[in-house]
Amino acid sequence: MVDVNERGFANLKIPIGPSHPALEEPARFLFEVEGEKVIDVDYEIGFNHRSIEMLCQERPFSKIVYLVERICGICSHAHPLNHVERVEDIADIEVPERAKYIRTIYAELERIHSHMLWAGIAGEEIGYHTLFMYTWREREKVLDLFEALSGNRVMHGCNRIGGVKWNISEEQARSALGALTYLDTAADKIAKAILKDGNIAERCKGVGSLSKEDAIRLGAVGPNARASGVPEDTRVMCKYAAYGDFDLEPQIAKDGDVVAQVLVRLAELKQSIWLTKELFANLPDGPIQAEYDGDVIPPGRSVGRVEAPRGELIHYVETNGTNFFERIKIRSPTLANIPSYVPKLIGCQVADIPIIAASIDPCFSCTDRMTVIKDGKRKVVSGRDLKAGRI
Amino acid sequence: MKRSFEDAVQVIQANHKGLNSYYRITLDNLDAALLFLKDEGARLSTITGKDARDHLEVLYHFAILGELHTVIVEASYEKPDVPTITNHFPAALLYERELIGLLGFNVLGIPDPRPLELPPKYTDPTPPLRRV
Amino acid sequence: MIVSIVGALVYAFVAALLLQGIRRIVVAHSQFRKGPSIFQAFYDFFKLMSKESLTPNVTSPLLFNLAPILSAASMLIAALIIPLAASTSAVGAGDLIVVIYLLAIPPIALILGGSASGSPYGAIGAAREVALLIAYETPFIVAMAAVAIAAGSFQLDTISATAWVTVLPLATIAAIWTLPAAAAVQPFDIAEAETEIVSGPYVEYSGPNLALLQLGQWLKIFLYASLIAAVFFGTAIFHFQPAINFVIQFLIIVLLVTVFIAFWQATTGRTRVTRVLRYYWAVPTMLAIVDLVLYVAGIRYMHFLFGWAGV
Repeated sequence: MVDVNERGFANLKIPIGPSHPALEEPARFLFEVEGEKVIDVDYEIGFNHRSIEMLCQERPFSKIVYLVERICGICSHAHPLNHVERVEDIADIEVPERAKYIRTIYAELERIHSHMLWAGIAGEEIGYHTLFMYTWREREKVLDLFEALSGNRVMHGCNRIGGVKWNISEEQARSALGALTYLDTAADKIAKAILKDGNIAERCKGVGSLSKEDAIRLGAVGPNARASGVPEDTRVMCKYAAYGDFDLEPQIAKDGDVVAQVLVRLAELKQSIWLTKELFANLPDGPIQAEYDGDVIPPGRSVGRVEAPRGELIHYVETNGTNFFERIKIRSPTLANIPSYVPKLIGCQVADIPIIAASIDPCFSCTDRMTVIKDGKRKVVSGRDLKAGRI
Repeated sequence: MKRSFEDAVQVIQANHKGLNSYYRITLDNLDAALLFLKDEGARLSTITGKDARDHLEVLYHFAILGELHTVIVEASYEKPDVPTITNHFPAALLYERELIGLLGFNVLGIPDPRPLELPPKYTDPTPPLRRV
Repeated sequence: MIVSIVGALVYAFVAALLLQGIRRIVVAHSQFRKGPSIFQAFYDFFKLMSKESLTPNVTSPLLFNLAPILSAASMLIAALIIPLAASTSAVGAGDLIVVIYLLAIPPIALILGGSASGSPYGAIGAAREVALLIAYETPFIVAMAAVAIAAGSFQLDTISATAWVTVLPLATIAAIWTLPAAAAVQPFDIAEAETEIVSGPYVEYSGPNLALLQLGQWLKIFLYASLIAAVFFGTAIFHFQPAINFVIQFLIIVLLVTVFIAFWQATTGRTRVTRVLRYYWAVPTMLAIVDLVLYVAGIRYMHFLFGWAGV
């Protein structure tokens, strides 16, 4: 198993995954290392294949919103948001302002809880269990807020074609503002804990750098790209939902290493908390659901993007006038960010692998939701295929 | 956006709501279109493969700042060949591997032809997303 | 003699496992959690003893299975030689050099077992354990050498009659500084870094093998702290009843373990293995060497400052 290369080092191939404590979700990396230095990396994804695109073609369109929501627990609002916006685009449905604001509130709250989750995971990867406990404790406030607004901590189910399902009452808005003020101080504390720690700085500075050219060339998106200096933020560029009413700026850092990722996400955390407060304070009155003919979506196509917590999420939806979608294509941000792993990981030390892997905030559940294996005409997954496919 | 290509490109929908444009193009003109897009500063957002019931389609979604430009090419069931675009847009690698794995396209010239996301022992001859 | 041997073994076992529970509760409370039961280490140990021990398909099953036995056995012997709660050890005599060697055996057993486990994680963990061992043993040995020179003997009875913290405080600091690395917790849990190498050398062990390996590790922490307490804080400093001496010494050990290990663990992440070497060979080793050199040169600065000549 161990052979020696020309420099006299033993060439060790370390597998990380599919199940490994460093990874939140399964993916397989094969590292070729020399001592503690990584010289090559190969990755394999698809362990969370759940056949969502195939299933979307087989179910009537009223059920697809719920299906799409279950793609990922952390970005559980971004996917249905994008989906309903595509359908509304095809069917030319005008969404009321209040519904747009409520959708944006959920989206920003999701960004807040996702970045706090990431801060905890990043701490955990470098062995800093206490940071993990602290950030997730603060994150509970956001999840409590979600539960108060929609009844669920994740998978809220609040998006509907043409609007949202639940309204936000005056009382809820007031208690939300209180929670957000608490979260603001919590975000400051987290930022101070991370940025002023010498141990973290030593483990993260210069680790996993990605240059701006590489980020653009390899198609990196979201905070991962912004950490390398690419000034693109889908909320600013596309102004979907209620983002057009606010003046946002993409938060950018320069070096593309783990410290830059931390800075970008902490800055976005503060920005999201501010934005959510503004949204709650300026919530317009009105209906939360548009009236439309619920039976028929005309044939057409729509493609569009949303800024999920992890980056640019793009949905392509095509309808053919029947009750079923012709094609739904979902490309989640992690799939776009995976090629950027290679320049980040080559040349690093084995000790840095988990923190670099976590630094692009991977969500393989979002990435892998591809097709089921068909068996003849009936689209079922056979047990044999399940066992062979590790689905 | 595609003024220089007006004759080769069949514009399906231009500037829909100010954000999206769709163009149908033949495989021969694809390379020139890609160069044009690259000059305009486009970024590849994703690639969609589609089984359009009597032929296959590939939709390349390019993002130029806030706008999405979709370029559609066709291929037949008998000859599901598309050239790779990784020479212009290296980000296309994973998306093209998805085309290979899930729709059975033959992407010519791709540096890494392993099908994405399918298990190694997948034996069903029909690719999963084909409507047979 | 038999009574004192059995008593020492039982005491070491119980105290080592209780200290693990205390450490985990302190860490948990600093993370706003409640933590496990104080007897959790006992539950873990007996649960593991009742499970099956699997040996992977490796080239040297002998080494693989020998490592846990070496680890636990060396520590049980060390428990008989270190003065645990009285002015002498359970068998009546003890040699400092033998104890230092015995305390180095659990890491060596980990290295052997990790290398023999046939997994790349084990190999990397073993390599890291080597680096860690070299790193923290250096200041520890220099500090112990300073004490031995000051006491004029390597016999633990003679050494522990005096509280050497009053003569060699810098060496004491150096020795206590190496405690978290000996305990292999943050910031020095490098060899068994979970998120990086999935438990490192421990990865292929299960059942009684794992139980013994962990027992060796837990006893090592307890005996390391006991050694430091006995050598630097003396076993008869207060000339009280032996029972009270015992309590005082146990409290010093508990204090060492919880304060220095647990708080440090709760507030840091993991360091990189390359940095650990530089870290321990810089300040801690320097402190120990300074004390050694000053003593050999005849400068009794503590006597000069405070009038202490060794209690």
